[in-house]
Amino acid sequence: MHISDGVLPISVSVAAYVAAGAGVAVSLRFLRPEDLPKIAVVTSAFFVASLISVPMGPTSVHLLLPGIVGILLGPAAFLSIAVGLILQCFLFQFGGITALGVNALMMGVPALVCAGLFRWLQNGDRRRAMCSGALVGGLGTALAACFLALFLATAGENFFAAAKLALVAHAPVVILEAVVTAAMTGFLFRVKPELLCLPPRSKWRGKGDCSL
Amino acid sequence: MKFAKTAIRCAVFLGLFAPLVLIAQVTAAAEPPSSDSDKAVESPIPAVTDGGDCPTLAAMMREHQAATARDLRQIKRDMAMLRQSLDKPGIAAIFSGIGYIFGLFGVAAFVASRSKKN
Repeated sequence: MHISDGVLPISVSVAAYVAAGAGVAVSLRFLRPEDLPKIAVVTSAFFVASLISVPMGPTSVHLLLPGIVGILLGPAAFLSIAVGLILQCFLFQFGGITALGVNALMMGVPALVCAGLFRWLQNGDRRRAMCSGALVGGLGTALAACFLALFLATAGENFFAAAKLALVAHAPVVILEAVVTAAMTGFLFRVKPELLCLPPRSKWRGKGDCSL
Repeated sequence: MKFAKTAIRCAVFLGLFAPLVLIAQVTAAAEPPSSDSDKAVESPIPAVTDGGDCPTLAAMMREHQAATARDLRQIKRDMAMLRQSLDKPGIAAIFSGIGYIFGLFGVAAFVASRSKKN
């Protein structure tokens, strides 16, 4: 799910660049130095995930992972996704350089929504963590499809038609993503629960764990 | 008189079809022998160069053309697949990307640790 060069009007691209820059700045504001290795690992997982395509019917789909990036990184998810997309753009020619801001918003905002929603849904139960992981994983991809439709609407497409098309095209990815995110969440909850939790507000900076 | 007519007919026939046969021979020679199925189609062509009537020749040329078209389609399909696989990023690009990410965050961690010390 990448928008290419020349699809969107210049004004939208520039505005998206500004908004994405603001998002990265906010991510940097919430960044804790001790989280940097974790962010690096999750970013490289996000970077590589789009290359593993699963054949499904006539086409093949690949994971997008905004849900799990949001769950693991919290507010730093936007930074991670922006870095991953920049490298995908330059090394694999996925998406255009002028559309980088749009692509970062398209994937980053759902990741932030997922991060907030997942944290809000937690009460320390593993099954609940898995269910909310599945919900958030599916929702992240569906939201990204909606953002895609929204941006295409600025280029003159009919929003509802584009949204319907994008959602239908990504329906298998949504299901796959929900399953994968639920599995990852359940596994991490058992093995390393502190990974699933980042302080949502800056006043918790440097405090380390939160109660789970 | 009858003999002269037949001779003229033969001459006209040869004049018309000899170039065609030559062309067929040249194209058959220009093609590299690729598989056994192609040989089965091409082998009758030299046999008719020294004689043979027009309909069989035409049928053979048509058959030959069909075989060539089939091969061309196969080659086009192979080219499309090749182009598709060229579009995919190679293993070098993937690992360089992962290296870039770790490097970037490593530098960030280094800067962060320095600023903390100061």
